[in-house]
Amino acid sequence: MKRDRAQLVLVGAITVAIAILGAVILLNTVHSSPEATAETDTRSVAAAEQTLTEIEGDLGRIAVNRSHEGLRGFNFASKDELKSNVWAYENQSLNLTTIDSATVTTVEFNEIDSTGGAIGANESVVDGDYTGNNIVVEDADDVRIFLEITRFEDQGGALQNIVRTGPNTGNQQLDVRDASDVDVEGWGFAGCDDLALPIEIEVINGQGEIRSTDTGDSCTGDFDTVDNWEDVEQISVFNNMNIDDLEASYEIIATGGECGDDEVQCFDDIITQPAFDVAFQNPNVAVDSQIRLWEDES
Amino acid sequence: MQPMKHSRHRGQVFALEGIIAALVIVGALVLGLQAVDTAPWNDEERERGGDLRTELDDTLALAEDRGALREAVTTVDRDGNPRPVVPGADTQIAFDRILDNTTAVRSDLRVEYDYHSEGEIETVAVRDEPPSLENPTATATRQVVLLNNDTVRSGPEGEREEGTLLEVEDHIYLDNQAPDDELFTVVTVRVIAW
Repeated sequence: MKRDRAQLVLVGAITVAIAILGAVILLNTVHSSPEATAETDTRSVAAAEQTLTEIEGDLGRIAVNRSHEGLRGFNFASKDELKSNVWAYENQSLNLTTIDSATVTTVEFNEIDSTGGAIGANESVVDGDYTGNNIVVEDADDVRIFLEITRFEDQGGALQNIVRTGPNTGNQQLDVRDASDVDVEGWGFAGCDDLALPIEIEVINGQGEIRSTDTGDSCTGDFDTVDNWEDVEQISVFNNMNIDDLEASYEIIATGGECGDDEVQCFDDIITQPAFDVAFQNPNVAVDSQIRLWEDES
Repeated sequence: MQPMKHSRHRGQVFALEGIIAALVIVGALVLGLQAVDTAPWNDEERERGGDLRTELDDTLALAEDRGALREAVTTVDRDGNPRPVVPGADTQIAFDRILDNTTAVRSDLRVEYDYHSEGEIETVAVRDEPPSLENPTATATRQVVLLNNDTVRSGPEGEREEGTLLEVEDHIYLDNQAPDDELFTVVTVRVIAW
């Protein structure tokens, strides 16, 4: 009888053990819930990062000005076009995004944080409209110059000059000479001889290179002689040709600057580095960010 | 009286043994359970769904970088409708090849485009396979911005240029959503895999 009672106690103890076992299993399953939440949050952050990257790419495509499609120089934006296109993009994008997910994305052009300036550009510097020395932009904080020459007839002397005028250095000019094998001199480009046309010259605040686009030859020159590019009084374009045998284009962007002479094509009130306020929000994460384009070009 | 006392003591010993045995069993179980990771029942499927989603995201990112998404949504058939995506076809555009060549294609796919049309959002499936109810699914989306001067193509491999979006807007499935702006429209590409 007593033995049976002890066995009964043993059975009770095992029952208690099984109950504790069940409790432990239940507790372990509860433990998995925070992991699921953390995974959702992580995915939300990843989605926000991906969305911001996509928006930056889209804005870069939308913002770039199309009115100088023939030029292959630097990016810039027209302020009015930018506002209108970004507004249209936000509406289109937002409508589609809300189909798939509880996500709201807003994109707004931030004019205050954007950097403005002027751009002088022409697809043919000797198309009969002007010759001689013409001031393109003035009072720039920084200057980006893109010059492409595809064909010209040698008439002797310098054919195409870009003149930079600074407060301490006076006039310094970049000369492009000779028709068959092009030489470029000035701005530390000495030694860039006998390049085959077409050539591209790309200079950002005195730093850059000359490329022969067909042969791939390039020259970077010694820019130590060029200083004080951060305070440029004037960038002028000069040519001494009176014929139509020069095929060239230039693009001069002056951040913080303004247009010079009326004789050359130039636009004030452009955006050289646009800024956008972007907000991304879904039930798990909210991100406010600012996207700035083309900062690495200056 | 003596046997009675002896029997009582023996019963207490049995009870004590039972309690000690229970403690040993409980202790062993608790210690053993510390090493057990009781994941949710569907953890394997959830993991596979996560892998699939990552593959799809990477695939679409790759296609976007190569311009294949833009090419896909601007390639039309002879009626101006979006060109169907045919797996394993001889004539493929870049997006088809990317889908076929990536790991995600080992699963079945459905590819859809969302676009604006006459004030409504239309959805068209360019690759339509019956979904599986058993396997986990994953969805990835990308938006494609189209500008007025983007080229519209046609032909089996998208080799024939029909003109810019602005030039052929009356003959294709996409509507110009911003007539006064450089932006033409925005299309969402959605890929569902299982």
